[in-house]
Amino acid sequence: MPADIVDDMWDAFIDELNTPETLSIAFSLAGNAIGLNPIINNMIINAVAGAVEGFFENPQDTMAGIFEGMLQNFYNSCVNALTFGLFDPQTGGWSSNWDREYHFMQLVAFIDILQEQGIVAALENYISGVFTDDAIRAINRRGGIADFLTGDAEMINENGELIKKVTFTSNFFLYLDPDTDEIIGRDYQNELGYDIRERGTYSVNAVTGEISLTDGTLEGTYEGTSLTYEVIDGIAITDMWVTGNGQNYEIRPTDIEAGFNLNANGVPTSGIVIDQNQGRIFEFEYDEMMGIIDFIMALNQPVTSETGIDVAQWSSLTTEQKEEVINYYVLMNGIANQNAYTSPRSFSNFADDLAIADPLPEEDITLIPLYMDMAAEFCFRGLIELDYSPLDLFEDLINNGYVERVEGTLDWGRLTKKFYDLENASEMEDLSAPFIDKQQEIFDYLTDIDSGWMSTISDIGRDAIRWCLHTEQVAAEILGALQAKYGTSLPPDMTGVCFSGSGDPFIYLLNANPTIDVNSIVLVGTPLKPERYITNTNVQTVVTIYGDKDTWFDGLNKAFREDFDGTHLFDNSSLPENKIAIELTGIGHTDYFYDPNKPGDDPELAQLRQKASAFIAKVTAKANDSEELKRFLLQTTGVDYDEDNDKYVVDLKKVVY
Amino acid sequence: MKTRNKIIIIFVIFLASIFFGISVYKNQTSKDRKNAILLMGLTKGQKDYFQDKLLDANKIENLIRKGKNLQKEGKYVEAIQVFEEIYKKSKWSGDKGSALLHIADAYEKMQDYKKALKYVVIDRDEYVNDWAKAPIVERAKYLEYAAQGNYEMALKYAKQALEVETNMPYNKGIPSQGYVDRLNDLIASKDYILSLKKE
Repeated sequence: MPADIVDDMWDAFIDELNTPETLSIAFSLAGNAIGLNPIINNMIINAVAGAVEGFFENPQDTMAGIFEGMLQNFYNSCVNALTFGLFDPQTGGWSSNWDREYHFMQLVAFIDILQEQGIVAALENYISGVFTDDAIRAINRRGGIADFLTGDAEMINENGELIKKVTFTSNFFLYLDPDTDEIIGRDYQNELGYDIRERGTYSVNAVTGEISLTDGTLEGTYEGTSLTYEVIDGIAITDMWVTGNGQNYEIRPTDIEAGFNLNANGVPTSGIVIDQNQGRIFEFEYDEMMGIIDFIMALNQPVTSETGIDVAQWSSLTTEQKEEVINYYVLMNGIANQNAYTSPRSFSNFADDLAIADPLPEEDITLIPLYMDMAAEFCFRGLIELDYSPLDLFEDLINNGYVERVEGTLDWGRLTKKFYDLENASEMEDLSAPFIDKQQEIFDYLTDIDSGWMSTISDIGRDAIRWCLHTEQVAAEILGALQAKYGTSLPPDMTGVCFSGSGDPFIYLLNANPTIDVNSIVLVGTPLKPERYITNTNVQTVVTIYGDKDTWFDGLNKAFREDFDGTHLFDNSSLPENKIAIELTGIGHTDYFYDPNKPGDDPELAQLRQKASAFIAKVTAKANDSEELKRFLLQTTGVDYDEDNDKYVVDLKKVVY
Repeated sequence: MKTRNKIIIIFVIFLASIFFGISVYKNQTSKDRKNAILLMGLTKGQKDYFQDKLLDANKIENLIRKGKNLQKEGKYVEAIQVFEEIYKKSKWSGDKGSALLHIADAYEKMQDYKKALKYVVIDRDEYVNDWAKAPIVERAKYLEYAAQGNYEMALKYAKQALEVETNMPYNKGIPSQGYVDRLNDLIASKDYILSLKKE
């Protein structure tokens, strides 16, 4: 036993003599940390706890008291164990119904092991479970593990959350919830030399009797390569990643419901691999026991049947598997591809398959990019930054096919497929003089336009002009985009997500066309004109989402709408029936939606934007079912309710997903 | 009629048929698409990321719809399986809590008050935010009494649960249909609950 552990245990013993439960926990965890047999460890724990109690209960004869306490405690634990936990000799009574149910499950497991492995193995497995279970109960009774053992407990910031870290040895750390002291993580080195990092929830494994990860992620790192497993219910491994050293593999089980079948080395025996670096998707299956290093090397091999890896037949995948793959496709498309017109080259082979894999969830999402027109930017930025005549440049870009003129307008345009197909600025070789000398600036400028990464002045100038003067025109654009996709008969029960200035013309469109069946509207940072109320009776729910730092939402609505109280836009109207207001803390007008191509310089803000996007997506998906949305808000961590102002307040830093 | 005219007429009819067919197909297809989502005012990059999140969210939502439909059809065991799947798949505490409540609802419909209580208690203790706990605390009480066969006390607390739920500020005095339905179910189950006491 390492000397520092012994010292720590002894210090704990001295310091915590008046709290025997704490001492039990100390020994239990220390025993786990140094790999002590759970049975021996728990016998020591119970004996020591009994000794301490005996010491206090028999002040006249301390030695007799200590031994009496040890024996009594040993007897208690044995009785508890041998009645399968149904009878507690300490309280003299039977456990609660739930305990009984749990122990009956234990009993079933015990009989299984008895039949399969014999009485010795069964007793070892089972009794260790009960003993460790006792330790867990002691932890709960005590109210959590105090930072009692080594004095090495500290609060640390992990992904924006403060958690308690307890150091046991130089390579064994526990992480605890600071409020409840429940175990939420563990770092240690396993026997293969892997640095293991676990995060999630823990419970006692009924078979091994050890505390183990029940739900969460387990990451093992060896020489820069990481394998990450997603664990569900302590058994099913449903997702796996291999990253580091230039590798980026995501691995899904062939049978999603059953999860992975891992061999003794922790290597899945079959699965679907998504190679995110090379854009390959393939299926594999191994007959033999394969080590982790060999497995990683095999993933790097060309995809042939000789390597034991077969290319997946897209057509043979189930609909659910296809959807899973498509999700990755969409994810990669968003991160690696700025091309608005087609998929990344690495996935071009899948284009046809994707088209026939209908119905796809993606088909049900329609983007109406109202503000991709670029005339305003030419006026503002063209003059100031490029020092050219912006209209000449605009014409030259149209003549060379990088920009197409918006139908029915003189000087409005959109970027074309030809532009998106450019690898870099040097490929814009057909520009006329004098623009040919400024390829890079022009390329960067157009890329900025595509990303919507405009200066605040030009962005607001552009939006405000259209918002104030061209409601009907924008509404017509929305209707045109809808009819282009769906024909004249639009789908029922739609949900509209309107960011900023798009909300006002959308409501105008719905009011002007009462047969359009939009069930719910999610307004995100949306200013509305004074007369803009919802009269379309198909709309059942409106969710108003705004950031507490969105001065444009607050300022414009206060300026335009007399009845605006800082939160609610439709208080003076009977429609729609359900009005829900949600305030996002720390979010300004440009922070609602994250763009992976332009994450910005502030990582904390980027993370907030990601969380805002994810949260708004959840609200959007539930908007057609207001009861379900309410259930979600009532039970989501980080959501509070402001009774005075009738709004849900979301602290995105606390939101976990 | 000249052959050329015949060809023209046939060609025009052919084109019209195709046009009509496409229109009918397109309209029919769009009518079949429920719960379509329109995104307005986002840039391409924002849309890509948001769409990814939306697709994830929709997968859970589709399961929730499926589970609720099964529940409406009285297929409670199948519904429970769907909600268990949601509980496992979603990483959002709001979804997990909601799934537990749906499971509890199903067990309550099946008059298995012990199991309903079990899930309600887990939800109450693990997922419901403190400011929203009051109704579920009452629900747990009436389920406990129902499980014991104490009809009078179960009814008392079921009424109390409805009242507390209705008076929660975010409900603005509107009774929750779920609590109303459960109270009615409980009243209808009087004989069954009393029979539990005899066991």
